[in-house]
Amino acid sequence: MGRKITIEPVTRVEGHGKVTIKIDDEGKVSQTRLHIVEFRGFERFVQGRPYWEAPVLVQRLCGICPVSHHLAAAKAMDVIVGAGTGEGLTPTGEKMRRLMHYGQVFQSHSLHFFHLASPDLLFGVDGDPKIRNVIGVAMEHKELAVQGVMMRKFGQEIIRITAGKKIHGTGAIPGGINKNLTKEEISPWLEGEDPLNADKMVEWAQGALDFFKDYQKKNKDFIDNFSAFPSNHLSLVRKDGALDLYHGVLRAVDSQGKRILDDVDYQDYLKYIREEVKTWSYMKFPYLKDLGTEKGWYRVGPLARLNTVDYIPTPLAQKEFEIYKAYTKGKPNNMCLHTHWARLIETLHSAEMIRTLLKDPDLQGDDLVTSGTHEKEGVGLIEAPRGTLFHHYAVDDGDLITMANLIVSTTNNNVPMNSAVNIIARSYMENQKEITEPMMNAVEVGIRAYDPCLSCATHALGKMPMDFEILDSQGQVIQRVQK
Amino acid sequence: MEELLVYGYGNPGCQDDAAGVLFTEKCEQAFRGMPGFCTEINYQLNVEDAYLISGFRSVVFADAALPDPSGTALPGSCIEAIGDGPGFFFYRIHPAVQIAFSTHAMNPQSILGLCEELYHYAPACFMMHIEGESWDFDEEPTGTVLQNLGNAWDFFNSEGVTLFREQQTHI
Repeated sequence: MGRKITIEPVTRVEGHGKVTIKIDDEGKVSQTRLHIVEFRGFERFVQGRPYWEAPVLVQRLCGICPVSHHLAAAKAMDVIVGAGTGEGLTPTGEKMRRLMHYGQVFQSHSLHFFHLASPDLLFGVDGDPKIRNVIGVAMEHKELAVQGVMMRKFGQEIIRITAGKKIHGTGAIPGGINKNLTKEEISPWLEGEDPLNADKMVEWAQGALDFFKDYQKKNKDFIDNFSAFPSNHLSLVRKDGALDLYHGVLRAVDSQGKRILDDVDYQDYLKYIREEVKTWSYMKFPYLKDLGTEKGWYRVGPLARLNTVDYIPTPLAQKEFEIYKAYTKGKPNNMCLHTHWARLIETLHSAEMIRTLLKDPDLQGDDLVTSGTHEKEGVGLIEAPRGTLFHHYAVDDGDLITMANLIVSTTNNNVPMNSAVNIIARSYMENQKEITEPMMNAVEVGIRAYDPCLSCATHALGKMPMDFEILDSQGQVIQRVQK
Repeated sequence: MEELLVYGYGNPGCQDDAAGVLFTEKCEQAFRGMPGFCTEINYQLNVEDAYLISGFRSVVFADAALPDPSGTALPGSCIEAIGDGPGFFFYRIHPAVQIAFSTHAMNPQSILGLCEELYHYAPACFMMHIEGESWDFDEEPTGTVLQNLGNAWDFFNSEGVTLFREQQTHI
């Protein structure tokens, strides 16, 4: 009789995910699925609310990446108020938003590498699960853990000064921004006491990248071959082909680098992208319309971005990009764990961008908001840390939202994550008498490379993913509370 | 080193998930200006909070929780319990030996464990859990959680503070 293995919940993944792997009588993997079983309801919730509330409301979606939703919604509302599609803002408005966004990417990427990816790299996929976590890293590689903490803090502080507050920030508003930054507000982060300043962040980002490259050289087989598979790749790119995480046009390439979508205004995304629904998951399956569901799925995120762009417009990251591209002889990189490499190059780029923006006098400008002829519909796109994030809204004559469609990064990566689960299950679990914890962790390593945010992807209503335990004096669990 | 940090976390856009943040706001109003007293709020806890709490002698985390189906928030055998009442429970926490770590959030015990590991120091940490009942996208907390919040605040503002200071002396 065949077996069915369930991994639930997927640890270190936000929201509620469940992986099922079916193994038949011959020991072969017959079916794998990454299920998302939460209810999707946010898009209906925002209907009937005034459009100007959207940039704040959408932060309720998820406490993980509120800044990305805040900015994507604000960009959509820029269109609604006639302020253009990312290029019509005042210099102060645009640069304040960029600073907020690069702060978000910097802290998110730092968190992912130092505290999610590095335990698997430092202790191995089959390492002792008791120490294969951030505290294990702190015990064995303290300097690395301290750097991760401070890099994350630096990014959070950049968000705080630009968004105004940590919860439900109001920095971005339709048509611009609601505050500028004084030199006094900037000074601590530009030239402040070591280590919380931009120069140190650049230095540490470079150090993390060097650490990964060294690790990859020593573990080439694992890093290059773990869950590698060909795919299409999609992201925003700047008009001239540069990496731009805040604004650009849509570009997609296939696994060989051929452009299959180029220079597309994202206001027209529905002409090019569709979402397939499957009965076993609340998370949809996006694909490029012209290629269909079988061939049109794509990856988003750091790996995809470095496959679509032509260059990176900051010097240190560009130098690293050239090394990275040379490794695949200029062809797209389809190696799953190279996502960490790409993520660290983007971390370095973000640190450079933050340092440059903090020095820009436009941040002290007083011209914060612009507007024009109101529109009834607007689309906002941004390259969130995990990949391309779509926000699409329509409003009525009374300025109330009548329609919302969100395609979040994790949804865009739905098929790739399912593909990763399938490949890893076949590699690690077929013909095994016993399914061990390291085998199941291997599946999770594959999923974690995409840094999924499942609560975000499902726009879940209802219980928040919170749980804790109360222990007695012997360390025994005497009460467990979940919410 | 500062004296006391009250740190509420949760998403105020999801009804009763705001309980920890609301509790912290009450503390801020009541104790504002007291030397060495600080508050912090966030959607959730994360690694950088290990650095933050390393600068305090004591920390009170405040968060929302599901009602306990047994009706007993804290069993009498739990020696770490400091106090409980209708809809809340307040207890001492210790550094986690094993951590539960989702992609992007940590629990207070893990924050404390990370603090101890990185900075060789662990402040006295306490947890105030306030029971809620509804978690939808809405900024209006339920009447139940507001009642529980009131109970939690009454306790903390009277005997809780005293008990918590007694605990501190035994650190």
